[in-house]
Amino acid sequence: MALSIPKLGLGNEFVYFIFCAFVVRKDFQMKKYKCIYAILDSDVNSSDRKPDIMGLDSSSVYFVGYRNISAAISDVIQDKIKVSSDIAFSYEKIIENLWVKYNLLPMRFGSVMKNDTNIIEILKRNYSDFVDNLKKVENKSEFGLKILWDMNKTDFNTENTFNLDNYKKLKKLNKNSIYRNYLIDKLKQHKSEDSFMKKIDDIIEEIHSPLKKLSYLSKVTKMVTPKIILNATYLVKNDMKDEFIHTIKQIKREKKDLKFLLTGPWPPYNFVKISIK
Amino acid sequence: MNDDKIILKSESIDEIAEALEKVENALPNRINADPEKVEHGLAKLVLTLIELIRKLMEKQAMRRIESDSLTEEEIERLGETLMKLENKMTELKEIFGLEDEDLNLNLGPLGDLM
Repeated sequence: MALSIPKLGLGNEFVYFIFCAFVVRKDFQMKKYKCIYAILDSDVNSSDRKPDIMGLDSSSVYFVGYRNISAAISDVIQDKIKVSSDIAFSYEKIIENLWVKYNLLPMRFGSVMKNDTNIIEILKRNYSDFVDNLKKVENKSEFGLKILWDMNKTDFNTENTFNLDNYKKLKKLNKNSIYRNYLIDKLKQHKSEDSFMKKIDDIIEEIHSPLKKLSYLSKVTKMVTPKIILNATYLVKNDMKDEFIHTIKQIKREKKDLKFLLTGPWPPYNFVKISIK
Repeated sequence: MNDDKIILKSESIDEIAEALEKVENALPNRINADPEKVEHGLAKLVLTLIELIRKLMEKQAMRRIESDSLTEEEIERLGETLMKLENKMTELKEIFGLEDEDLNLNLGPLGDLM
């Protein structure tokens, strides 16, 4: 700590010592919460400090352990982590740095506890779930795939399958009945929508099916917005990563009217299923 | 996001960002407590739910017609009911100054309600 202290004469060093002690104590008191970044698949001594990984609020990340699992933690000033893109990126970077060395389960952003004892209690109560999930994600990476389409450009060739002859009773109604004609229009509309959705399902299946075979787990959402036809995350074994990426590149070449965004590899943010007790 | 995490991207990445922003902005950051807007917001919510039910009923009606399980008289009455329901919704939308696009709820990562 570099401080500029004016010359006060005798007792200067004592004043300086008291001043520094006060500042250090204040600093220690200010950082009284623990931010948890991840649960690690590692039996690490709790006194270990990892100065090469800096946590939020400029504190070093360290570990507390229970049996063969540990929590990666650092001291923070407040019990609520401010939500901002800078802090979120910093948080993500910390997890990535840990992930380089350890198999881990990322904790939700803003997981803050009072002290190490509370954290060890969480490790104890959820030990089986943590171990099961750590096994599930070991040697695997997550990839995110988003596919956009342009409704005007994508060729759907949806057939108009409506045929009034198939609706004998409806056909028999008075041709001048406004209600009959209303129903006919609605049936045509619904048939058209059904064909359209079927076409979407076919496209998604063509893309997702080969990728599902190459991945350990997957999560797919279709039509998140009218433009995002597919929003998927895949958990892929590390020795299958190259083939997975190669397959997506191939699909992209075949589906020229669609736009692709593939990101990764990520830690397994979307494949951890635990309700913390 | 760091560029080193982008493995593959098509041109017009801005379009993707724009589409994703729509997902992120689905939920407002704060509740709007302006009395006039609250009333309008409530009308919008209620009409959205009514529209959802109406569309579900319409879908079910189409299935019933396709299954040939209705008499001619029932089909005629069904058409009358559905048409009047749709007309009433159009009327209500006009009263509250709402368009078709307004009667939807964005559920974020789950997409639009309708």
